[in-house]
Amino acid sequence: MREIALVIILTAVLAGMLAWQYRLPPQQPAGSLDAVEMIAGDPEEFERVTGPVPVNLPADQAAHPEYQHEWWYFTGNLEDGEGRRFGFQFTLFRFALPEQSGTGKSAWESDQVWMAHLAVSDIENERFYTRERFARGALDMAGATEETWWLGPWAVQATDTGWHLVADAGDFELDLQINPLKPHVLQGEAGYSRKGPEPGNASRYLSFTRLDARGMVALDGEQFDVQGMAWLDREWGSSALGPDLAGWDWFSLQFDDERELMFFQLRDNDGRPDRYSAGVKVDFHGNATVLGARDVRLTPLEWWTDEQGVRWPVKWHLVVPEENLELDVRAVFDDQLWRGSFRYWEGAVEASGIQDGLRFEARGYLEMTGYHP
Amino acid sequence: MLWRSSRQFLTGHPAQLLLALAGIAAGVAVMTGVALLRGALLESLERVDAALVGGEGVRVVALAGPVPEDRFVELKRTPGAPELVPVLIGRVSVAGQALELTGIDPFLSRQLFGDGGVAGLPATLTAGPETVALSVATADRLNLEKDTRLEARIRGRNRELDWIGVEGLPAGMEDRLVADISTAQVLLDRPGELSHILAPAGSEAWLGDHLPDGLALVTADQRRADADRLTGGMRANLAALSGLALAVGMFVVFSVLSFLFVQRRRSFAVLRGVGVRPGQLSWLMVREALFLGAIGTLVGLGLGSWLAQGLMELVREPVGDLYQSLPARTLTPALWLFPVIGLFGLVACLLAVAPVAREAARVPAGRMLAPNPPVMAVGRRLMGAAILILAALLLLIYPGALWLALAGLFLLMAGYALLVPWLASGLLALAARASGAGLGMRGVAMLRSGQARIGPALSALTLAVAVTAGIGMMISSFRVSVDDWVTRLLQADAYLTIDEGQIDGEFARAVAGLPELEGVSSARRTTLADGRVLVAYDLPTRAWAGFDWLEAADDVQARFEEGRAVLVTEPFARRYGLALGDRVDLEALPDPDGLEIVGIFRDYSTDQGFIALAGPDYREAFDDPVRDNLGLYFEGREIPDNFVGRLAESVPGAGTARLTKPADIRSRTLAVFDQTFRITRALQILLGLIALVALVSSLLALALERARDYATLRALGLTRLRLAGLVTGQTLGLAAVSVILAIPAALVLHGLLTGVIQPRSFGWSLPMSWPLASLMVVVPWALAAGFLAGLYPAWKIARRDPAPWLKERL
Repeated sequence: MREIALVIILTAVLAGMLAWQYRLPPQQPAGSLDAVEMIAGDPEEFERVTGPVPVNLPADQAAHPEYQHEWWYFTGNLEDGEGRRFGFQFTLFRFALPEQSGTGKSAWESDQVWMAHLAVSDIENERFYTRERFARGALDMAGATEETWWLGPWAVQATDTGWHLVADAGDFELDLQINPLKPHVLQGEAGYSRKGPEPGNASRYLSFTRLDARGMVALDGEQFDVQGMAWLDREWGSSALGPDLAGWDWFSLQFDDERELMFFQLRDNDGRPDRYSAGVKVDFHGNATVLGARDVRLTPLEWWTDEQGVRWPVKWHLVVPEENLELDVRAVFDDQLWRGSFRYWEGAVEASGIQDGLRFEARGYLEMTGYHP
Repeated sequence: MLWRSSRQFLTGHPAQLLLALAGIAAGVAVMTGVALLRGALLESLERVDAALVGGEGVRVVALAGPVPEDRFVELKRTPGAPELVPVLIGRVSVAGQALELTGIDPFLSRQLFGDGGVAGLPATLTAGPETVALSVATADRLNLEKDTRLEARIRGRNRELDWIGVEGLPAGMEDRLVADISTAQVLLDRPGELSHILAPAGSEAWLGDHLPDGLALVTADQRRADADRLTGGMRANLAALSGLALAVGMFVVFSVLSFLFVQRRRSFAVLRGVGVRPGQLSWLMVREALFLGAIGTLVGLGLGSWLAQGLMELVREPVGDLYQSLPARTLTPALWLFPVIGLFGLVACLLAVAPVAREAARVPAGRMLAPNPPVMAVGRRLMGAAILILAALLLLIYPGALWLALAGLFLLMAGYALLVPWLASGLLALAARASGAGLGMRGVAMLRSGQARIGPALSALTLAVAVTAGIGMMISSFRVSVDDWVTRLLQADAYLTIDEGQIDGEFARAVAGLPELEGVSSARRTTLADGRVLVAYDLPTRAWAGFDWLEAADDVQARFEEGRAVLVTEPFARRYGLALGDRVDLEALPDPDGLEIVGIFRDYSTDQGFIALAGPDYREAFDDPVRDNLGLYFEGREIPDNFVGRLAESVPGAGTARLTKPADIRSRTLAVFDQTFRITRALQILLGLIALVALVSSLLALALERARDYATLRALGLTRLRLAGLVTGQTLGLAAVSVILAIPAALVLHGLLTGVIQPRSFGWSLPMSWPLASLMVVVPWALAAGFLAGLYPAWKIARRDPAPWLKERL
């Protein structure tokens, strides 16, 4: 029976050789894009935001390519006639690549990269729809002027009363008319929003805190006539964070008594709040008051753990001691995690609070970045 | 006990063991190699699309020529647009190896760069204006060293590029330089152009509704059908050759196994004497065949994979020309392929051993002497051959698919193979009569009596010589036809192309206005959305002499120049079943009846064929003013001195103009021709080698069986040297018989390949010629092979002590 053993050994050896020769290419681990890479290069090559400068609308709605990054950020909570609720997000990001010596011979040469994020939270079914698109700032594939902000077919067009947002991701779709109900507010010091100790660790930042949104949401071919409230952030700069910062928790809340509150908490590498955390509260008439790091206390109450073992705080206790304001903010459902090129949590939240003995409700959005297993 | 006897025997005869293994391995290797190649040809091209947009992707192509990039932007900005990836491909050469430069927009391919893709690819590709990415494996193959620049030849110029090796590029991107689309446009000098646009599966409906004018959809199924059609001829030819290789491999196995059997006749007789049943002996032979088959097949599979790689190198470029996309070198075969071919190898071994096993069962107990093995009765042999040849003729005459004709050819050769031993015996009888009563006669007589043993080897050698010579003749005569055709085609005195910019109407007019010129022709080639090729011609009267008409209207030139009429090449007409007066539909030239064919001409430039259309018609319909080249017709039929200088001065944009003489184009065409047939020649040589192995082993068998005869000769006073001479003379004689028998077969084969297979496989007919030189070239090779094949048996026989063999007889 030694022959049989020999055949078996030979077979095994040859099979091994063949398997080696035709081995499958190594599977690349699901590659998340490194945010740092997208905005690689020395920010010195770009203009920096170093102090307050008057904001000029609508001219400043157009892109500022001399700065390294910029975004147009819509979020909102919608409801159809039967009370079915949805959250939505439409964001256009612009990143400038380091200066290149283009040949000028191809229309595809560009140092601007655009990314759009479109998401709908189906609150009833706890389903989170997301779609990410990229384009370069060439051949009119993406861009932003005073009137239009677009990436491919996804576009926001200025109208007489506000903006018209159209974005179709195939299995879900948004078509909304969005009109401001209050004038914009400037964040930080007249729009100069500091994120670190260096004067250049800052961005230009303004917000439309109360927008009427109405139109259509479609999920898997089913259309819903909806209306609700939206929020628009505009921000540009060349260095988002100070060097020791790990991430942030950003809250935008629209109260049922027609006030709004925004607060971003910057966290350092040890998870402690940074002193450049800041926010704004807007009263019924649209008057804004800036909030500093010490004006707001945030305490996470509950966590949700994703498939990679990252714990995301999905319920928070927010206190503004000076205002006698206390709020519990919780995600409308836990898994509103973006698993695209960037991994971050961005989702609809609801809140109930008490101020001077009076109870109120709020809806809004929460964004969390920089959490790791 | 039986197993032990086999083992002792086989390990005691390592040379024969190796010979058998080599025979099986070689046959299986050729089969594996060709099968792998066939798969790779079809799949490798698909994988590029899969790497960019996932499987079953849809291509958007222009109805003619490249896709203008603004059409892409238009589509991309249409609401509801699916993911769209722009692609621009071009051929480049690095260190003498052809590679494809694939320009893409990495930001737009979610498959390549999004979740699960290659992180950071956009940053890599946009790192600089001359940066390309390639897989680490490809970089290794090209021997690129870190921190050096990559030297590439692109569009006739040497460029130095920055390169980045990327881990985890998908398999479809092997052997490609991946570049940003802007880089590709600049390097290939094709600003504003895309080769095609890719969209993921399932976007057909949306694209169908929103496609701009001038663009068309090609689904994955259509592309596969195209690939199948385009490479059909080539794949059928490869399949035929691999079938032939396996058949010859079976001959080898048969001769080695019968040789091994002959050596053991005596011990089998002893085994029968001690009570071993005949069935057990047959079973022993079968087991040995299976054992050898298993090992040989495995080795063959391994060798075949290696061989496939070599074959791939040979066919990559011809396929790339055909397909406008270069297949990758890397082969990733389907998993089922190996077991199936392995099974083939084993079954072939079993078939080959069957006659030997039958013979083993007939060994009578205790009888040591070998009777002659059974020879197939002449009547049965002739009957079998007649049936095979008749069936072959029916298949060849029947105007059907290519594979029917190939099967016919195969049967014809098989029929002839049956006749070979009988014919050879006749030839040997003649030779015996001619050689009188000396040693020569004795040698011939020994060969005749050993007919059963050497018959199969002789058939194998004859077939191998016939196939080699027949294919060689076909290729030579084909080459002559191509040469005649291209010489006739190139009527102009020089052809003009420019390195930078393009030849448009204004340029052409400016050139035509030069006083030295009597006339100017122009050609523009473009691929339609459905894969058909269209060529727009502007031809002066002198150029018309270049057409070799198969059929043409009397006033063909006038009708063509009037417009609304086309010419087609012979392969095109055959492929689409068209004849003179039939009509061709062109989407861009809407005409309810299509355009009438006023001429069908001979053309060997592409087996897809093409449609020729008058220049003005083409430019109007396709809005494309560009010409690929101009043909210049000088007053004195020669290029005047310093013409290029005057051209550059008087024609704007002619600074990079290049003139090519017809002779250069002719030699380049023939070089391409030779390259295309490299694979056929390589397989021819393999066949010859396998046949040679068969001959050596059968002669060894014969030598052993006739050992007593040789011993007698030695005892009668023949010196060792003369005995060796006798044996070598015998093999030389056998080779000569093979060659004589191979000549008519080669002529028939050439006739059939040229007259039947070529038209069915490529669509063109060839004027029949008989290049006997190609036939004669094989003769010395075959004789030399015969001589060499005799050396080993001669040495073995001559060195044997005759005494024991003679004693045994007593």
